[in-house]
Amino acid sequence: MAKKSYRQAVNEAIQQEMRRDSAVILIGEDVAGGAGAGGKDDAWGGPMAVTKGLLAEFGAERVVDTPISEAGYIGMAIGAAAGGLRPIADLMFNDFIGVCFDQVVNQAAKYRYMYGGQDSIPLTIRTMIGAGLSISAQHSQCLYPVFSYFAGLKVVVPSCPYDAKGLLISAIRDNDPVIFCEHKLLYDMVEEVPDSPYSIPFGEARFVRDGGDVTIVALSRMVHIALEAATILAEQGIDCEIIDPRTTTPLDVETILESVAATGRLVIVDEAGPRCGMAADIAAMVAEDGFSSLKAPIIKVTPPHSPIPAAPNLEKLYIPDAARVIAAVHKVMGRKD
Amino acid sequence: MAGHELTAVTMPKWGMSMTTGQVVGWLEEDGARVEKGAEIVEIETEKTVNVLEAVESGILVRTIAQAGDKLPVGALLGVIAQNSPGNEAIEAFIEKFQQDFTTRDNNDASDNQPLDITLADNITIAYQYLPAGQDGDNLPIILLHGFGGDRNSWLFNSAELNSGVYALDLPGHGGSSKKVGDGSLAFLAHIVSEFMTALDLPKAHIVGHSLGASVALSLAHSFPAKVAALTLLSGLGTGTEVNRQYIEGFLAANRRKTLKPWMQQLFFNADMVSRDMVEEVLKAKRIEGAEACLGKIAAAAVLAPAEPNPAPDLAQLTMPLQVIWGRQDRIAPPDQTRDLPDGITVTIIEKAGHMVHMEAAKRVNKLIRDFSARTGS
Repeated sequence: MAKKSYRQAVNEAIQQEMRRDSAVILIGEDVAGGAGAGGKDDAWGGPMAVTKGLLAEFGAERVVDTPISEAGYIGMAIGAAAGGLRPIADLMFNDFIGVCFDQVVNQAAKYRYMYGGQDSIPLTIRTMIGAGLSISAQHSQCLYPVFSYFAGLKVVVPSCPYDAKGLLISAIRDNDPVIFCEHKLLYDMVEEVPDSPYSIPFGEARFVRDGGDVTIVALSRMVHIALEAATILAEQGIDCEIIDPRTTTPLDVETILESVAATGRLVIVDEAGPRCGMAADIAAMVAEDGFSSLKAPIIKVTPPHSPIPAAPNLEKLYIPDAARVIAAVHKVMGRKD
Repeated sequence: MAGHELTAVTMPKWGMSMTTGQVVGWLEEDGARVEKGAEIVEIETEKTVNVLEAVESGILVRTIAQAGDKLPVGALLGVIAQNSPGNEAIEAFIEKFQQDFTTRDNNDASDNQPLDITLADNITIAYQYLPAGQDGDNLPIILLHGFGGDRNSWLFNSAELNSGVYALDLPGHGGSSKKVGDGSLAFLAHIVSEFMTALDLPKAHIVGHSLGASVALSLAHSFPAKVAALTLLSGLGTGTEVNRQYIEGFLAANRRKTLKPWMQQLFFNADMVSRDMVEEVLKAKRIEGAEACLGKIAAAAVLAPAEPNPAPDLAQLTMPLQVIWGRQDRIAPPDQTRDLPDGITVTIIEKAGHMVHMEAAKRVNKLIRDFSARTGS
């Protein structure tokens, strides 16, 4: 078993599924990366080099590099899915979903329901989320809570290479539309990833760390911020349990409740905003169904309700860090900082 | 006894992949009198929690590692003294140990690399090899895990066997190819035989657990010259009476919550099953082709042998053979060892379930070592 980056894990999942099933195609801006750049097709493989090599192996018929029109190619992918293919559409930045919301929200998400289960849209939309590259307010958001709002969409937020590969294979094989959110700061993360294909079922949270004092639910890149905090907290004698839901729809509430029943304290760390986000959603579910086990109020650690600053110093303040997680844990433990 | 006045209690190495362990807590307090073999400290590894036993009798004069400490294998956990050597001597002993320790740690890093070898038909077998110590036994030991397991199930055994140890993943399992032919014992035994040939191992003491015991027996019948001795754990070959519900439940489970209760049935002490242990099994099951292979093996070799097979005639075998079983085995009941032919040593171990080699590791290791020694090379 070799060590692979998050980027390689995503690439390998697409490659293996395209080899396995000729109905799987890739559509998007720059997926053949470099088309038009000095005539070198496949030179880049997208802005983050995730799809590099796929054009060379599968050809332009299955790796379709499109013009800059999200509304056009997301619609095209949904149509292809309705017509029997299993497209992977590459929506470069999740912020661009705005212009294709009708296709995704009113067509793809509701297709199975409105046709009485007779048909479905086997579509995967891969898209980048997250702040940290100082590329401004329309390229840095985490919109998975918005996607999770819509019944009929499944939403995946992998935090590590192993999960990225297994969950992307499940997404591609799923018969319904799945939005697969890749955090752009995780692409260089490396860990052991099996060479063979494998699939991880949706709706099963991962225990990142076992602990008895506080439950920390963290998503995507925030899993690593939570781990950093937990390592420091362990030295102070506070033992944190970290849970990564891995998918926000379906959401493994049962595992979160089980952990809170044991610890009695909950901190939720999310890079999406504080309003109507996953942190607010999970807090509400635990308040409803796990209130009797709570020893302290639930704390949400999120950015402020604000557009994301492009200035690096302000962006750094915007993104939750380990210090904020530690402060939240101290608070639920009743410790003064 | 002057040379042994002070004995270091160190982080054990339970299995080839273990590099660190976490102290769960001491079961004996500072200053307590402990007997050799007494359980003194609980250690959690990535896979499970187990208890470390005192290697010497004496007074536990220092408990150095604290609950929650994560320490490398070989690190100092505490000190046992034969009499009262005084604080200065103890401090000097600890200081010297800590000084020597860093260098020792570095030398030990290379022996846990997983290996693999590709046999005919492009079947790759993943395995780990642990060489025999200086005064070790010449006869190599080959460890064959049970259904749905892998080489890691020997984590408490491999390092304690005093021989060159090969722990391999059977086809369809762990890191080995997801190709199991017709899923029969004959096929699996054939692969083990090929593995031995490829690694130039003419003869070995074969230790098989459960399905691995069936494979070992099949090997002994088909290639008797390759089997110098046989240790069968919790299994007797094709005639073994098996809890079918377990096999079916284990096969069907693909999530932590559904798999864990089945895995707990493998143990007398259900607490042995940690989240990480379940996660490891799930990771192996989720590899493309693994479940299909397990299904094939279950159908051909565990649940419904093609021909109704009588219990193999163990008396026909000429090599030394011992059988070890856990009294509380819920997967394969121990009663079936009652009517074995004369000359076969049967050891039933109390307070142990199907995973007897994990739950009673020390006892099982000694039985395997002694059997190897008696068999000679």
